[in-house]
Amino acid sequence: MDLESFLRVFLPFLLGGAALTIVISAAASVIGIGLGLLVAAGRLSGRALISAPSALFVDFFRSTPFFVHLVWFFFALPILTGLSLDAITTGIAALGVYSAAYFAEVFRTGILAIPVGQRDAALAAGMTDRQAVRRIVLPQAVRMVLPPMVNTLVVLVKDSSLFSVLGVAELMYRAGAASQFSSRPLVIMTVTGLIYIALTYPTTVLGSVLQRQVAKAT
Amino acid sequence: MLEYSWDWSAAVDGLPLLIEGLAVSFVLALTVMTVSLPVSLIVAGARLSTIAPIRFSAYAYTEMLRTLPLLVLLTWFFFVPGLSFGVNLEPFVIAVVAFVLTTSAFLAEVVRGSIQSIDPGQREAAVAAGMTSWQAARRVVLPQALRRALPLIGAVWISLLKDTSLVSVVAVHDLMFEARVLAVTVYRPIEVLTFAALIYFVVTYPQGRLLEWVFQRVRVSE
Amino acid sequence: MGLSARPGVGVTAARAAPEPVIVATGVRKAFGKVEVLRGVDLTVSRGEVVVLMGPSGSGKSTFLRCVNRLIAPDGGRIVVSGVDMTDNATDLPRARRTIGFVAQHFNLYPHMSVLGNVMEAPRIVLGQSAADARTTAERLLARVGLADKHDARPRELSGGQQQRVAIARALAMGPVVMLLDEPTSALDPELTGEVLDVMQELARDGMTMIVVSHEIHFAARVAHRLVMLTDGQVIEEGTPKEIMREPRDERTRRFLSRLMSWETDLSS
Repeated sequence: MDLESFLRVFLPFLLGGAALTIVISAAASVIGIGLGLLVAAGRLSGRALISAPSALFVDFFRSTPFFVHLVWFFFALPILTGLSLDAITTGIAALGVYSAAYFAEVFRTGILAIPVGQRDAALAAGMTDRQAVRRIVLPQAVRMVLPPMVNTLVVLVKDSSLFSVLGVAELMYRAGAASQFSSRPLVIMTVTGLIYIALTYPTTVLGSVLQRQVAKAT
Repeated sequence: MLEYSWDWSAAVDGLPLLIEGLAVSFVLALTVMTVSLPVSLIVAGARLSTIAPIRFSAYAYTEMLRTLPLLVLLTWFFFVPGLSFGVNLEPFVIAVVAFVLTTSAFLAEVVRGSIQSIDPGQREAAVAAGMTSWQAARRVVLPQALRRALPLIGAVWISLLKDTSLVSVVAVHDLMFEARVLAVTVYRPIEVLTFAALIYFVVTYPQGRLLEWVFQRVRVSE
Repeated sequence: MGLSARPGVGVTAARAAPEPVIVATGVRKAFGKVEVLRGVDLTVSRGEVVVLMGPSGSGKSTFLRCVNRLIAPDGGRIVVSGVDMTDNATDLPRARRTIGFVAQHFNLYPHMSVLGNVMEAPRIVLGQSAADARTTAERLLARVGLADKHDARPRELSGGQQQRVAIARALAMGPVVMLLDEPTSALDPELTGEVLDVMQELARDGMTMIVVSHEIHFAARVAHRLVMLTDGQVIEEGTPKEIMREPRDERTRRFLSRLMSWETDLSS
């Protein structure tokens, strides 16, 4: 089989996997960012009862490999919830919780990077705490946080490839299967690599652009 | 709760196996780091080269290898040499090659960034005193750059330790591999994997804190 | 209004029955085990310009921040325009509206233009319309000499320009008293003049001011009273001329001589 017909057979197969990769990554990102915001708020809280567990959450997940959690969630979640859950669901839950620790760290350092003087100046002018945070601190924090957030998203997409180990038919799984089935792994794996780059490179570029913008503003 | 009889003793009994796996993880990480550092210096140098094709190739290298998932690289080296070229590689070698490619890319970026963060006035002063470009680089810029890069290199090391968990899929007997085998052997996946997670945590977390401390010291001494 | 900015001449007579704007008594503050303020008493009358001086760590900045309660004192009482800032029941945001605050590092909001910075608090805190806030802002920016910089971003301005915007921003709230914490310390020497000139004009227009500063020439020319703070206490106060010519306390003498070691003699 020549290269062109080979690709015509296998490319749609791989792209179908890429679609699932996107879905997984998007779902996990939503969970990760949402949970990450809560945990970051918890870490910044003055009350030790809230900040200590939040810190432990972040430190624990950031000091352990995602792979371990992925497999752990696969076995533990159905048992703990009593529901029969498939690999995709447990996987998305695992990736959501895991990435939340990283997002939380990004959000926390972002907020702390805003000079104390900004809030002081706002309060000194007579703003309430809420006004100061909403009008002065938060807008700056969002700008600060965007580049590292983008980087975390790229890592998240890369981690989605591990779902293949659980048999989820996303891009990586299909690449492995196609490599064995077609006995032309060079083409398959190279194309797969290119697809992953196509998925993540735009976000990396976006991240660098945002990074430069933030650097200019500070 | 679904039917599951908890039994932590089975996991505890398996600890020696897990620790053996941890040793393999460590050896792998050390090997990768040792090879990656010199490679990264070369790549970083290439990134800063004045010759456009060299600069661009290095750029492509770092950009691609930092965006590709490790699993893709592992799988690539798992299948391609064997099926396409008839060269059968040992799992450990596959792991080392794949990891060196990514780690050197990340390290190259770290080194490059550190070199570029050194005040150009430093090189100016050295050259004004009569040093050649190479002497200025070796005696003035590079030492400072590497000192600044130290905490970031440490961070790459810690990431590397965690990422080694992936080599279990190409049957390297690291901690994750032993954990997965043990989990299936004693039918207690949750307990075993919890232990594996705790081992990773106990190994990684202190290194992370040590790194933060080094970070502070580097920043203070500047 | 319109008190003379030249201290020592007619000042005592004009202040025969001064109206106290700030009354601080026995202010104490400790950070952990370090006692930064050990009982500071200070009264500032309407239209008075007080320069607070002292060695680093003497508590000057801390005291200033206690006046508008950015820092809560551990003990003592501070009353500003009749409002007790140390009372926990006081509505602090409201009380702060009459106190203008300018910090060492300007703290302009980087995500807003110069005009936006000056308009922000009047709109958000006082509820002014955009049109009214804009008019005031434009007037104040002209007053500090930055009429052409409305749409600039803070990062495009020099340090001196940024600090002048910070002053205009504080004035936009129509404060009764201005607190300035080392307003020129973070500036390159050739830029301090433009900021000090603005401050001098403010004083000439009768603004009540507490300025923490090392600028002795400014103190000599503009201040009505010099207050020396050392180790968290007021060790000496008087007119600038009194203090600089004949300091009574040994610590004052040492501090001033170090400050003036590179200066030529003060001309009267």
